Amino acid sequence: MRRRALEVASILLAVSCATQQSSSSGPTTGTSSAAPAEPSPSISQSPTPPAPASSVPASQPAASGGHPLTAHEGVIAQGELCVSCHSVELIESSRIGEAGWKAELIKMRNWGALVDEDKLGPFATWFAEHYPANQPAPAAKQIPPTEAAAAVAPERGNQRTRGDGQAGAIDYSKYCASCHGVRAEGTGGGPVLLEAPVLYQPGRFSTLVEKGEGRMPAFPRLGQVDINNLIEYLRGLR
Amino acid sequence: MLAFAAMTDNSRREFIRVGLLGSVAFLSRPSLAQAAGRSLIVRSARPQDLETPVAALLGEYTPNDIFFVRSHFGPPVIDASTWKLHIEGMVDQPLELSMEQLHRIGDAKAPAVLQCSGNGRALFQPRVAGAQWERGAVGQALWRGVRVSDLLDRAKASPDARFVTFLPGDHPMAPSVPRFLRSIPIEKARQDVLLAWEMNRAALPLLHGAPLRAVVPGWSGNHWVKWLRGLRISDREDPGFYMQTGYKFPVQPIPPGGKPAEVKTITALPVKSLIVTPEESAHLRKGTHTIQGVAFGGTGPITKLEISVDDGASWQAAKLDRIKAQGAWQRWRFAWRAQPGQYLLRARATDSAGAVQPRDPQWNPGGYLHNAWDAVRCEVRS
Repeated sequence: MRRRALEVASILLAVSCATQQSSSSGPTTGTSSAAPAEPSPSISQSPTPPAPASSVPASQPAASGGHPLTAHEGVIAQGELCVSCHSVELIESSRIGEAGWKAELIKMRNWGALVDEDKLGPFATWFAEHYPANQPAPAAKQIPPTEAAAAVAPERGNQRTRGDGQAGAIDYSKYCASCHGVRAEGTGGGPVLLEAPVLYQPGRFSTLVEKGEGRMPAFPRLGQVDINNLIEYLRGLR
Repeated sequence: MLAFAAMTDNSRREFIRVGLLGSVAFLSRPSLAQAAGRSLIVRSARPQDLETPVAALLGEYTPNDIFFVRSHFGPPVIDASTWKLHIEGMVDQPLELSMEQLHRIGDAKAPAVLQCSGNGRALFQPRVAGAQWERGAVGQALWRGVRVSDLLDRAKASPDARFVTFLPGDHPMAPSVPRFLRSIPIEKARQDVLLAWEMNRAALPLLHGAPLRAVVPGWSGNHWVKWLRGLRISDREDPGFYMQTGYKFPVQPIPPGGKPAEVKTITALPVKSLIVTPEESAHLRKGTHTIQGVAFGGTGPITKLEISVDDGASWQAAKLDRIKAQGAWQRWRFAWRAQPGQYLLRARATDSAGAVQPRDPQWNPGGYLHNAWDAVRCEVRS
C-alpha cells in the first residue's frame, strides 16, 4: 500500500496532475524499492523515504487480492485507507454491515482512497467483522467546548513565526509533497494543507513534524528553523 | 438595546480590525455551557463532527460554544483583511465585496434553527453510513448578516437565473474529492436567506463558518454553507456530487434497507419535536414535573404539540409558544403529575399544513430527516 502511495505521489509530481491514480501492481513486501521518482532537482535531493511511524512493521504485506485479511492486515488497511482523512470515531461507530462497507469503500476509492478493486471485498469483510452491525459502538468521547475551539484556533503568538519561504518550498518538495501534494492540495495518502488551521498552530505543527502522528511519519532531521520555513511557505499557498 | 448595539458594533470593529485571527477571543469567552460543565459529543474528531448534549437545548438560543459542529473538510483559516465575497455568473454587475462593504449593504437579523439533515441517523435501523448523530445535531441561534436578495439586486441578477450556488472556502482532502457545493432555487434565496457574520451576538466562530456563512431558514443544514467565498448565479444547479448524488431522499416510502426507485433533493425540514427535560434515563420523584422542549418545521409554524406518557396510547396537549419567525423553533412545556413507574415519554408535533410527526421514521439510505415521535425514558420513584 505504501509503495502504491509513493508511486501515485510520483505521478503527481511528474505531471502536476490533480487526478489521483492507482497502480495496478501487486502488494509489496518492503520499502527498499519505494523511493519516489525524480522528476525535478529538488526531488532528486531526497534521501531514503522515512519509515512509517505506525507501530505495525512496514514490511508486513497487505492482503493479496481475494483472500481474507488477518486482523493485522486489517489494522494496516484501516491505517492506510481511512485515517489520513477520517479519525477513528467515525469508523468504529459505523455499524453498517459488509454491503454497507463495500459501498463506502467504492465511494472512497472513487474519491482517491488507495485501494485496488480486487481488495474491496476482503476489506469490507474485515470492517464488517471488526465493527459488527449487531453490536453497539463504544460510547462516544466527550470534550469540553474549549477543546473543540482550540483544535482549530490559532495558537497564541502564532504571528511571530517567520521563516524563509523559498527554503521551505525546497524542504516541502523533499519531505512533504509525496503525501500532501505538490501544491499542498492533498492526495489519497495525506490531507490538504491549504489554509489549514495547523499552519497557525506552530507548536502543534512542530510536534507533528518531529514526532509524527498516525500515518504521518516523524521527520527528526527537520529542526525548528526548517519547520518555520515550511510554515512560511505553506501559509503563502492558496 | 443600547448595550446590545454597542457590543455588536465593538465586535464588528474588532473583527474588521484584526481579522479572523482576532475572533478567537470570542471563542474562549466562558459561556453558560461551560459553567454547567457540559461537553460536546465527538462523532468525529478530525474533521470535527460534534454533537450538542440535548440538555443544552433548553434556552431560546443555543450557546455558540456548545452548538453542534458539522464539517465536511474542516475550516480554512481565511485572512479576513484580504477576503472578499465574489458574486459571479448570470449577473450584469459582478461584485467583489469586502466585509465592510457587506456591513454597509445590509444588516438583518433572524432567529433560525440549524439542524443537520443527518440528525438522528444513528436511530435508523438498519444503520446507515455517515456521522452517527443521535438527537443533538440541532440548535438555534440569532443570526445577523446581509440578505442575499439585496446582493442579487446590487449585482443585477439576470431574470433568467434560477439557482444560487454557494461557493465554499473549505478545501477537500484531495483534488479527487468533490468540493462541497450546494445550490438553492433563487426564489428561496430571495425569500429569507442571509449571509451571516454574527451568531448569537458574537462574531461568527471559525467552526461555524467565519468569516461568512449561509443561513437558510427552515431548510436543513447542508444548505447553510460555511466559510463562503462567493455566490454563483446560474440557470442550473451545481452538477457535482453534493447536488446530484448526496442529500437525496426517496420520493416514495421504502422499506428499511430498501433502495429507492426515485429520489428528490432534501430542502425544507419536516415537522419535528425534541424533549429536552426530563433527560434520557432520568430518575424523578413522584410529583409534578415539567416536560419541556422545542418543536420546528420548515414549511410553517407548529400548531399543536402533544405529549404521551404511555408510548402513544393517549396524548395530551402541551402549552406551545408562538413562532417568532419562519424557520425559528417554538418552545413548549407540559406539567406532568408523575406517579411512580417506568415511562416512555413521547412528543408529537403538528404543523400549520397538518403534517404530523410519524411514530416511525422514514428509513432512507442516507439516514436523513429523522422525525419520528421523540422518545425519552424515565423512572418515577415515590
